[in-house]
Amino acid sequence: MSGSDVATTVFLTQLQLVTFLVFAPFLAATIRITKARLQSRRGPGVLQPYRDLAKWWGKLPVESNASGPVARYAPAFMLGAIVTAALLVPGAAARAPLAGWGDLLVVVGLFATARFAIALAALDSGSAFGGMGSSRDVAISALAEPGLVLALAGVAVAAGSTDLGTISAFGIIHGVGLLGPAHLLAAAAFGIVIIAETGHYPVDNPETHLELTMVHEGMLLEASGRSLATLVFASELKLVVLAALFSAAFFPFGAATEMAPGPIALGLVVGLGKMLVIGQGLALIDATIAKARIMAMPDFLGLASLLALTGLGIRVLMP
Amino acid sequence: MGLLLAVAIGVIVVAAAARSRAAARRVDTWTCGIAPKPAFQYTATSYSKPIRLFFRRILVPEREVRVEYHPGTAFPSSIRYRSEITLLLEDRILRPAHRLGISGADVARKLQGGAIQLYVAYIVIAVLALLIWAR
Repeated sequence: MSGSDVATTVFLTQLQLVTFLVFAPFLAATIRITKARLQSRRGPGVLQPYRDLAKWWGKLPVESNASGPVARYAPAFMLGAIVTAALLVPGAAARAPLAGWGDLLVVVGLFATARFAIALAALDSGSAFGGMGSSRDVAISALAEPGLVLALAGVAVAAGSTDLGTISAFGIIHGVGLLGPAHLLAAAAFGIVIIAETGHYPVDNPETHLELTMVHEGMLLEASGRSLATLVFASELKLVVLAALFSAAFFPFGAATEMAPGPIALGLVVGLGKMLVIGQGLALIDATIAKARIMAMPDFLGLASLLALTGLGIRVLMP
Repeated sequence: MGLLLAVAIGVIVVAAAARSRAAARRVDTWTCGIAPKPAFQYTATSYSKPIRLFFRRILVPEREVRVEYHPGTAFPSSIRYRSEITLLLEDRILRPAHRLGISGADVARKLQGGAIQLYVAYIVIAVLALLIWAR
């Protein structure tokens, strides 16, 4: 690694870390605002998620008598895994800040690690709600993961590499020609996986506290103070990372291919714009359809796996 | 290695920040107003329930709930719960194959009774059958 490479890595890492961390609550806010408007409510302000996080961060925590070190350290562990994943996904440039440190399989693995941490933390307090949320979340992700991996396998086969930077650069070179049927099927599959992974309709209701339906919220019930702030922030950041992964793998247009201030600034703006579009899509789905029964999940998420597998099949059989 | 290091540093920083405040207030877990008991926890079986439901075509889960009531009331005196899944490989493939093998061996033992006259008869029948077939 030459000197300029190190400088690029350091610069991109700082840029991505700051923008993603600052942007995550904003993206969550835009989704909530659009959803509220579509339901004829005024909705919270743009700063509400920041205020929530600040409030929880300042509160004295309440811990369960039954919980131990797992519940105490799992939130930090989860955030650590998501932040690491964030630095392995290309953002402003067609190159991940920590390019070469891990490919897309590492990103998928880090998501699984984060889920493992929060699932354990939810069980730690001994509450049935935590167990319920944890058990459902793990079951849903077991159904979503094949779709995620198969969708990414499609673009990896096309680009001939599992490195996300290579995949992005490949997409930019091919331009609109990239958008063949195989590509669009995989993108649709990935879209379904984003819904499932971030707990939006019809998989989960991000705002419910009704014990019969909650999935993600069930795992946060016993968390308070800084643990709660960390967990909520990690979930908000996860959406940003998934959206970045989606644009890097499927619609990388606009990302900088050369390391100059102009292209990188443009790539950053375009990247954040794409995330906002994805967020608005999620808000539109949230506001217009009903939550499905959990028993409908195998069909819904099976569809994702099927779409991704069809895309992969087209790619392999008809190159 | 570098990746592990990055994760570890992140965890330590956040954990340290999260613990810098005074010690947490410790209370019982909220269980809707009842005193919490270890029995309220999710067991391994209840944890895997959604998976059993999702894959019920393959696992074919079975469950049996037997409730006995205090006479004349709606309050249960005892509840028995039994649940079982079908083990695809063992119940559907290995056991039937094992049964087939055993019954096949039973038939073979009857054919191969140990009497020399029987074997001579088999040879005669086989030769006759071949002669008829090759005619």
